[in-house]
Amino acid sequence: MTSRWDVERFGIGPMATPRQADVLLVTGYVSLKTLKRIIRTYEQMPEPKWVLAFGSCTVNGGIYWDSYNTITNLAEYIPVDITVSGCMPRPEAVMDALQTLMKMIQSGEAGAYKKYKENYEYYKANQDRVLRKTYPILGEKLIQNEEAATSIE
Amino acid sequence: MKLSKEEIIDLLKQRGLEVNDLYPTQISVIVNKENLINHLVYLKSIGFDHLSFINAVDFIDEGEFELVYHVWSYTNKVHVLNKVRIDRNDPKIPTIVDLWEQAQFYEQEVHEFFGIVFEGNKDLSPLFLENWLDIPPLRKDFDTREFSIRLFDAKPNGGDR
Amino acid sequence: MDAPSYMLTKIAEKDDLAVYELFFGPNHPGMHGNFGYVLEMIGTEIVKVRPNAGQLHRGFEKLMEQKLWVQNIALVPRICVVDPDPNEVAYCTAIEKIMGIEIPDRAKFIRTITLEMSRLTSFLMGMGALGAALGLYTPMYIMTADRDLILDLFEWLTGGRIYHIFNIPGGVRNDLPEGWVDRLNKVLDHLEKRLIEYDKILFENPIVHKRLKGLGYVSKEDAVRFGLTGPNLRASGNPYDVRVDDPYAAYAYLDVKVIIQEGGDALTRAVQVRIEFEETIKLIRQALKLMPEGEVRLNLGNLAMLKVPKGEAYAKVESSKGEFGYYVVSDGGMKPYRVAVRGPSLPAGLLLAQKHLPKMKIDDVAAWMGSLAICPPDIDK
Repeated sequence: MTSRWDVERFGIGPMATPRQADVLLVTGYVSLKTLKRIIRTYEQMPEPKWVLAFGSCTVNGGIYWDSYNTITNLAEYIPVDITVSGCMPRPEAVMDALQTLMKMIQSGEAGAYKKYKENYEYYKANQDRVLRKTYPILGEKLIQNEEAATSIE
Repeated sequence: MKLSKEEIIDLLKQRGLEVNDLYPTQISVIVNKENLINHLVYLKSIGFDHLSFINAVDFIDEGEFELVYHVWSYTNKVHVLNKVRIDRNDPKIPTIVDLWEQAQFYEQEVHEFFGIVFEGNKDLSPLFLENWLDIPPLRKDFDTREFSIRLFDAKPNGGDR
Repeated sequence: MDAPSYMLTKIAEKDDLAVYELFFGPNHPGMHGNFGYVLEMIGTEIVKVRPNAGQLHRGFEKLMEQKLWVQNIALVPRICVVDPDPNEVAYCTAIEKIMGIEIPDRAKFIRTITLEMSRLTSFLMGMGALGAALGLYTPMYIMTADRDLILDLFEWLTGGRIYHIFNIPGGVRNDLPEGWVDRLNKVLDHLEKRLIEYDKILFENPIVHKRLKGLGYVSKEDAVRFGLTGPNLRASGNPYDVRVDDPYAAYAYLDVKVIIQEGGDALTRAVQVRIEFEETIKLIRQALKLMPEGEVRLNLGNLAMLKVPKGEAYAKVESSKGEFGYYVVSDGGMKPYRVAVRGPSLPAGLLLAQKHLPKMKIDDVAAWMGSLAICPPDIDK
């Protein structure tokens, strides 16, 4: 960010690849195609890693709660450490969240990444329910449609 | 050569079409499915060279879809809404990709959201949605709130999360 | 033996060379927004391209049918992040056309001033993104810092920095506060002085000239044939502008200069943005001088119980990327029957990609996207 709201003085800067990163920022709403890529990016990051979720859309769906293509609760799919609400959050709120995260890391409270390995079946069941559905949601249950289930690469 | 809006309305009425004068720079024309391509070729010849948009409207109570082709003329400065009605239970219409190439993407979008088949379009594969097994989502009998509550566990009015 | 799964997928062979598939996808530092192209390449040269859209799709056209007429004004600016005001103005203009009402003159001028300020912020972000795509990061930082000055003015007037929700059917929500016009004049003076610096670091930079010259050439007839609009159309020699051809808001009272250049390649489009930036500042000053006193909104009663009579209308505005169009159908009730949105980036992002990207090197794709002002949210809606 620019000199008015500078985060580089705290030691925070953007990285080119998830393999070199510690914190994943999810800014705003998440659609189904994006969720697949977020999960892949999260699993590529080496431990210890933390997740910051911005915006009301990651808490309860926000303004798009009744849309057929956006999720309503990010914490069901990957573990989240801090949520910043707002639509959009102000830059000062974002900086406050980053500083709170640094304090939590020093005191040892931020350990949500451990929950991912311990409860992997719970997260995987939620991800598959949304990304790999095999029958229509509003309709009679079709006989197993194998082509549809494997159409996502 | 610049034609005024009244001259254009007269030319189209002489061809036997029903024309409505909506606003100072906008008119609407009702066209049959069979003479759609001839009509668009004629409009292109009198200066309507910009295809703005193609979209569909679902009139479920009348059992029909209505397709609207928006064209604009830079020389005459008039916008024409060409409206075509097709049957809702068997929605098929020929494509206009040979007249304007960007129609391929507009028709792909309308096919994905309404289920209308454009005969002659080479590629009607899904562009925006992935692994979609329900009915096309912009039809009036698709309930998006119920879908969101069942699949994503959405809570109306924010719930108590 | 099988190649390990992390290596590139080889999909074909063509005269002794292998064709690989690569995602110029959302996770790429040169991509503007959440969008992707799936490229098939030999070496660094592209052979075929397929767009991967839909990652920002929220189903706006379905959501707008479930909410009241005035609730949709909160949804509508979120279709385009960099330039949100044209959306509100187009939606309200379509409703005003169906109802057959005309807004007061002072409201027309306030709408014009906010539209032009939004155009300035969009140009600043666009020029910065073009510089960053070529590896020049200083323009991006100073242009983002200058954009903050305009966003502060918006926050003083409407309460929000990016999404304003300021236009309503019948006018605008409130009048300009005391002292706002003086601060706007100071910001415009500052921006005019900064143009000299932008010229030195971006527009007279030999790197920019060498990399953008001849890239993505669009001829005069092709620009109209493919449906391009906005600065892309005018940089290929066509003298068309929605503000002059089909005036809305207060443009019928102002003298809008249409900038035309012959050239048609990416360097011409970058210079077009620079010249239009200067013209926009002059247009805001002209509007401030001619603005009359008076009311700023019509009294239509309780807006939450607004009922629009049966009818349809198509309203379009000139945003910084092109023609934004809204087609509204009403059946006489409290909620819209259908709202269809025409985004200006679809012809460039989907059709021109099939024509220009084959035979281009992958290093130039980000600069090509920046020069055509392709913004993914209005392809996906």
